[in-house]
Amino acid sequence: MNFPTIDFGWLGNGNLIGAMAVLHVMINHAVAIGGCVLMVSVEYKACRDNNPALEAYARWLSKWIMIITTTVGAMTGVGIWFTTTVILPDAIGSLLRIFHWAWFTEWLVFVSEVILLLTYFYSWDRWKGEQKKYHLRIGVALCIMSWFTLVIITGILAAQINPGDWTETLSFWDAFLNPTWVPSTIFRTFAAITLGVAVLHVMNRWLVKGLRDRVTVQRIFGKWLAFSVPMMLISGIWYLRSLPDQAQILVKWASGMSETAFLLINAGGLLLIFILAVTLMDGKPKVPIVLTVFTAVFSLLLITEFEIIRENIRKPYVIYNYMYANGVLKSDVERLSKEGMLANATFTAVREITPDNQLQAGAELFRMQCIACHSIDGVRRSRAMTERAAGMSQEALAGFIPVMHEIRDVMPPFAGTQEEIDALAAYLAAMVNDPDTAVVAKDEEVSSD
Amino acid sequence: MPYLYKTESPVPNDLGLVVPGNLPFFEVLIVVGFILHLIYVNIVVAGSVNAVVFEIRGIVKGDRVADALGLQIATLVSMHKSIAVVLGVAPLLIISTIYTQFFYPSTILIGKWWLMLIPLLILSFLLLYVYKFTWQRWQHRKRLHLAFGIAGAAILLFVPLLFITNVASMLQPELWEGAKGFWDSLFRYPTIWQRYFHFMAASFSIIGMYMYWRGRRLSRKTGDPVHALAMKYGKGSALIFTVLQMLAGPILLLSMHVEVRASFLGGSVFHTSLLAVAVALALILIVLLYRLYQADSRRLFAAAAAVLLTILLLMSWIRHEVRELYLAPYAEQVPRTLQHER
Repeated sequence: MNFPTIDFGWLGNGNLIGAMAVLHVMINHAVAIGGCVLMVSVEYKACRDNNPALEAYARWLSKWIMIITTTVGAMTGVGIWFTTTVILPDAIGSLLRIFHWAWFTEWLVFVSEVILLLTYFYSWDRWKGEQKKYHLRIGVALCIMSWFTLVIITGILAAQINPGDWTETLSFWDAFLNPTWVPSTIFRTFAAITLGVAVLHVMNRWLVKGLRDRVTVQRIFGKWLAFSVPMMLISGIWYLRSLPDQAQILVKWASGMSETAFLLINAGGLLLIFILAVTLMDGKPKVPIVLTVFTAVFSLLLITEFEIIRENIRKPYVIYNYMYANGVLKSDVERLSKEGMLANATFTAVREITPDNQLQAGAELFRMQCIACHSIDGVRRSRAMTERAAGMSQEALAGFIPVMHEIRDVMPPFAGTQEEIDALAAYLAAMVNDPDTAVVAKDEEVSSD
Repeated sequence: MPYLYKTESPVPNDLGLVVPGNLPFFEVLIVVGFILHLIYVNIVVAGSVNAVVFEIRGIVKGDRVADALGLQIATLVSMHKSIAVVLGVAPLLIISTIYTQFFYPSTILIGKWWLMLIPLLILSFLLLYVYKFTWQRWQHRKRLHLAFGIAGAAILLFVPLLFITNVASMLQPELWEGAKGFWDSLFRYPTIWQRYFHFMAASFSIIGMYMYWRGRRLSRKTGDPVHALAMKYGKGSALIFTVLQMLAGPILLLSMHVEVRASFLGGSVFHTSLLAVAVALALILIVLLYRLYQADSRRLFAAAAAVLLTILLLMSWIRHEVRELYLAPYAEQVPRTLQHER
């Protein structure tokens, strides 16, 4: 291990990255991309029909899109980067080395996006009459730039699960132009518009007072939705087919649901969203409030489910066939099993294991190889050792650890010597079965904060 | 609990993948990218304080002009903060890519507070949006309104300490052993508070120049007294805080490692000349600002602004040279991955 380790305890290191990512995706997709497309569509209609009520609505949307994206949206984006740096430094560090120039280009797009957003919001009164088209054009440019941020980052996310020939060639283009990039970009694009409609159409009810105007806005929203849902379905299937075989098999498992529940919830959810599209286009000013609230909440849950699945099916890797989820390189496992993990670590309080420091060594190893996904006790029960290793003796754990990757496909192999396996087993058994004696070891752990 | 190291060096080995590009090119990008980011950060930090200061002045003296200027600054802060954030991405990206061995450990060592940056900045930005958008509506609830401005600005005054601690820590791996998180680190590395002082003085100097420039540009269109106030305050602030930099700079230099300091004080011709030019330009800037303070002049301002921008660029460059000097011995022991092994 190259870097110091950190323990977010009960919260769980992996959960922290996940929560930050899901929050960011919700805002980016629903507000920054979907929201901008809808806002500019409403402005376009307002321009064409010379309708001040619609313009006022687009203007209201622009204020809130600006407030939300420049605070929670932007900062959670930086937050994904920060959490991964602190929790998975080897993984994000390697991704930065591979994709530096993609991220640099992304940065140029971000800068343009922010400048366009600010210009769009602060220039509503700048142009009158015929010249209003300039404002509209800024809006269109804003939509394109927001979408570009998705296009670039999706190339990187797709490469993590399907780096194509990169593991052989180490070439940037092999990694970026991977077979999953195009389908996942199309999928996310329409998911963003779908989310945007599902979440923002709630506002129509309160903010578009005139019934005729409301029908107009709803039709715009409805058309986007009616187009996006089937596109999402088609590109979703393509996306799935483009994944490595092992990852395809893991999808249902990764959702944590039974097969029936998985199918019912996802197919039912999409159908419901499609019903919303039809209802919006129907031309009646009142959409049933149950349908409105339900689709808004449900669509956010669907995107959360999607992100959880996407993260889980990549296992046991963080960069497919190159680096395991805990940051250990696939090519290093054999060496580390001979030489020892602790002997190769820069930041560790234990280098040689003795009977006196065995628990402490185990704690160090837990932080190095397990903590990216697991915590001793924690909010996510399926990842907590008190749940997973409950009732297992030290001997049972020591027997399981060396073969866990064969028994469970999603687990990486343990990288370390027999002594290290014993130390980790001793630590886990103590923490799970007899936490009082293990407290001593925990107190002696090297704490990074 | 003492750390035991594999080698003599406390710095970890570099990642196996190569640094994707030419190092000098990265270095130019980081120097230029960083100063762009910093100018916006300076404006946002000092601007959020100034908005509050002018609102208080408006309340205490019943001065409508000061209150109006406060609102203008609050609006500027809210626009500039979005650009400041996004401009920060490039330097952070480059520092993560080319100084991974140093920047990642220093980040993780203050990891929990480093992540606190995210909620803190979200909170601060939201508070400042409330502050800006309710300025007129809450004219009769000034205390409540002011509370939002003060809270937002207070967070922004704290946040630079996190960044400074991280970059100060990455330069001194010899001090990592036994580090216990952010609050401990704040007093562990000897240059943090000196850097903070230097940064704050720069912020108020730059916001001063910015306010003067903006006031001057707008006052030509309208004779609004708000712009006259912005000009007067702006040039005063620029002058005072540039003079203070002549104190902050040497204090920072004195806090640096003896060998690094020596390089800038005659030990290396290159480093000494770089600093000497910056100091000479700073003295010229003070003279220009003093004359501008006595009588407004477009040419004086243009000259002062040009000198200031040059100094900023030089400061960013010197900052990079300081980093290289600090890290040189480590970079030799544990080199970066610049070529693939296979």
